[in-house]
Amino acid sequence: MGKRFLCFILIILLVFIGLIPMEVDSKSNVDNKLRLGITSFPTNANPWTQSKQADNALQGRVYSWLSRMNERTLELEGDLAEDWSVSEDGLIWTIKLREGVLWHDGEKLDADDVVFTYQTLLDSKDKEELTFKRKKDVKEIEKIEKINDYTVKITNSVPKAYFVTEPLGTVRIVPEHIWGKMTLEEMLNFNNEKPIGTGPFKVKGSFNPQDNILELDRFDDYFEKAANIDSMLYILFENKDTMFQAFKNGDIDLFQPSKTQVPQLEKDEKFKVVKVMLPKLTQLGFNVWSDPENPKKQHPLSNGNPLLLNPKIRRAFDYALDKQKLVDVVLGGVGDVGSTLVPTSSGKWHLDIPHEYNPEKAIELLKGEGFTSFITEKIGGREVKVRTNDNGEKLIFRLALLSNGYAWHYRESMPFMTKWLEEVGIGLVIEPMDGSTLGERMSLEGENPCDFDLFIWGWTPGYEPSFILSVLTTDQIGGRSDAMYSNAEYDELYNLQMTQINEKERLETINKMQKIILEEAPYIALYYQGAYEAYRIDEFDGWVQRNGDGTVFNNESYLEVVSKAPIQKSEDKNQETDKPPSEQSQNNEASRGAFSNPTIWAVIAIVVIGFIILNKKEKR
Amino acid sequence: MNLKYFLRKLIQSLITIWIVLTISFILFRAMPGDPVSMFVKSDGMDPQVAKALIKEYGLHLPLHSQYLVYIKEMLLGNFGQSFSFQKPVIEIIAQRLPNTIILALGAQIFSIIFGILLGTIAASNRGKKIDVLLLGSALFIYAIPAFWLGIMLLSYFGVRLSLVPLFGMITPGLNHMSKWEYFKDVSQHLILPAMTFGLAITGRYAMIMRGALLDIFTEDYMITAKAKGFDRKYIIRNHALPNAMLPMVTVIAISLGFVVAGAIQTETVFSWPGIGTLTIKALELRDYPLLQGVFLIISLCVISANFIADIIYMYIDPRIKYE
Repeated sequence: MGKRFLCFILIILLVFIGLIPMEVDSKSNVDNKLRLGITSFPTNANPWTQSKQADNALQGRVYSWLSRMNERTLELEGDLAEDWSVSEDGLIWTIKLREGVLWHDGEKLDADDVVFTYQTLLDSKDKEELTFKRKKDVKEIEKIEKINDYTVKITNSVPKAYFVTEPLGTVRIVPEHIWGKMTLEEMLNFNNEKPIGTGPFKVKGSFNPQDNILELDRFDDYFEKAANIDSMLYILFENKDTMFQAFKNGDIDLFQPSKTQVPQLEKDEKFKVVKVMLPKLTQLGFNVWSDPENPKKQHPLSNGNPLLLNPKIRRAFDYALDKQKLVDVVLGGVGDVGSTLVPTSSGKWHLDIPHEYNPEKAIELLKGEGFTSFITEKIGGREVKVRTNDNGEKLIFRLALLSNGYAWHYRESMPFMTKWLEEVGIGLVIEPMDGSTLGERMSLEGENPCDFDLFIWGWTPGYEPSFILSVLTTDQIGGRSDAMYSNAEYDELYNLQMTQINEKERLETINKMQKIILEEAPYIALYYQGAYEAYRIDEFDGWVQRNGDGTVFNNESYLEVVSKAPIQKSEDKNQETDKPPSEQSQNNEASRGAFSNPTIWAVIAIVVIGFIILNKKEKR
Repeated sequence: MNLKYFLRKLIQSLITIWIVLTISFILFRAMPGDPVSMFVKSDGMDPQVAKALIKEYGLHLPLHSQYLVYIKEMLLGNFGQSFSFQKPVIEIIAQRLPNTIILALGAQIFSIIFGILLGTIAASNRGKKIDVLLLGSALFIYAIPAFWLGIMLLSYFGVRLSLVPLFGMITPGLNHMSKWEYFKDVSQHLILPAMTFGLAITGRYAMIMRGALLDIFTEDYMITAKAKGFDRKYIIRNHALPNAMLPMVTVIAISLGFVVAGAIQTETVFSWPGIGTLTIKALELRDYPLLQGVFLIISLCVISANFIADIIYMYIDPRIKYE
């Protein structure tokens, strides 16, 4: 039996060898396909329903808008629209469409498709159960009319300052000949496995949110110059280390490395690593839910610490934090020090007031509020000296610390922040939880409404600042607001900037709003964090980095990137194998045969020797 | 008599499944956070839309009516619609389960072969250097976390030697011309994950095998066999091994049930699109119907594996008689 067993093992070894790839065909430059490593896979191909950020990977390539942002200049330009004009009162927009635009199925796009798309949203406006994602974007629109085949007219009820950004740049135009047959409910429930758009790429086969590879083929009849690459592949990695290895191995061409992986990549000439200033805000937020009848007092239902309603105490937090150190040490220099609400990535909309790190000032502010004496408290097993006032109120607060993967820098910032705050006499009790749990703690309903003191969390606003500004308006309490901040002046300014078509006037208003938030400090902007992106420069050329230090994961990159290897046209790709082997190996060093590998030879030798010995024994 | 035993075991299994169903219902709802609050924060969903979604998902109903709906639907075989994938849960699981089974089978075959072999070698060389070495490495491999072992294997065999693909189940962007090509591609991708997953179980199997054999070596019939003058190898093969298989079968059957759940780490490292990665995703997204579906499948695997082990035991061990 021992012999039979050995034979069995040897056979298994042989099978394994048979399975070892003779050519590593996953290397990309042979086939002119761009491979992107991602950590979150799109789940939804339906442009009408709620989309996660990850869904843009698909929808952003497949569909087009009326306007889009030029990645190089950050200015708005026409996408499906060729031109637009607005009446003097700012109410009537006339939009001229491009002619000769084709849908992926070959049909022609015309004004009917645009009218259909917008009319669908308008029809759903008053029906709460219809969860169209973009219906809030058309709130101001009264009606949309077709003037001729390539012109539409939109009438607004009030002027909207950023109309070209939203809705023109946010509502994806869908084909009437596909969606027109459905009712509104059916549209929402349609899973749209084979999305038809006008964008530069189309889904290969059909989309399945459970796959871990999404392939998008070039759309040859794209209304502008079609992409150079044949297709792009989004490849899901559940593990960042594996993604890193796959990138080094040449299996993917572009990904976001973590800061510890960067030094290794920077040494290699094949790769380029760039710092990306993503439009992200990380803030320390406070529970400032106040009584609408008496704004100085805490809301009777709130379970937060009432001391945090005092803006001076909140401001003391700000002075106590050495944010530059967080950027340097925690973010590894990839980011900007936070000060105002609108992040630096919003360009001109960001109000640049440098952060003042001044513990003395923080102490002064706290003393001014009566917190002059100290008391020693046990926090997390340590003795901490915290300030207290004559009423016995102590400066100890609970801080919700998120455990989610994206929150790694919150957790790394925490020890620093705890130390700095303790130095001015503020104690922090850390409460670890995940984002979903914190979301529920912030709920205004239930047994313990609004049960938190402070937290670190972030937003990813676009370039247009109205979204991030809206987060702290009063009507977002119970909605998006996580600080429950309410300030009548701020709300008024918010509504004003919405209608200010003159950019200069609008900027002034927005600056005023940012100043209010800085001084009142319902949010303390810790930093605007960026990220690293790494891509291959040995195989592809023509990467476009968005406006200086933006992302290379953008439409223009995908359109312009070009393979450095001689590209075989798709029709003679099948003949690839006819080429002499020497030429193939020249083409790509990585496609070396596995038989050049000594390990393989060693294993084969062992197997052969094994069989010989076994045979000999039998003869004996 | 045997039928009675069979029925009793079956009813026990069914009751266990019902308890699992109930616990998983309570557990996931007791978990703080809901699926919709996530959307509002991380994806900037309109809060109005969020409220409408809560209604659509039936999350506004009181818990007991949610439970009744849940049990009723489960009995009808309807696992519900996944919140995040917008697809029936059963479809999602049906797509993922075969992938995990392929991985688990690969790992099991690997570990059964090597586990039994190493265990036998160690036991028959008890106390010698080779025993110490094998036992030590079995313990070592058993103790290594799968994600670390996976990364190590991956960076050596995948990156340094370029022998095997690193991630996923198929080569991205490759058009499979034939079924054979597809099979070959998947098999290549299976090597590393199956090895990683298999190595951990190998250690356990080897130790159990060794222990079982050592027990048997002290039995009287072994001495009898020796006294009859049989060759040592013959004794081990024909007298010790069949008896040592008894505990092995139980361990293997039970661990077959757990592999579906146990593959989480391995699947994550190699981005293998199986039940493990699905579980993590469902958990992050608070996708209750999907979570319940996955947990039910995992429990079903464990319960049925135990059930099968009980039945096999009855046949394999004629000494045991059940009332």
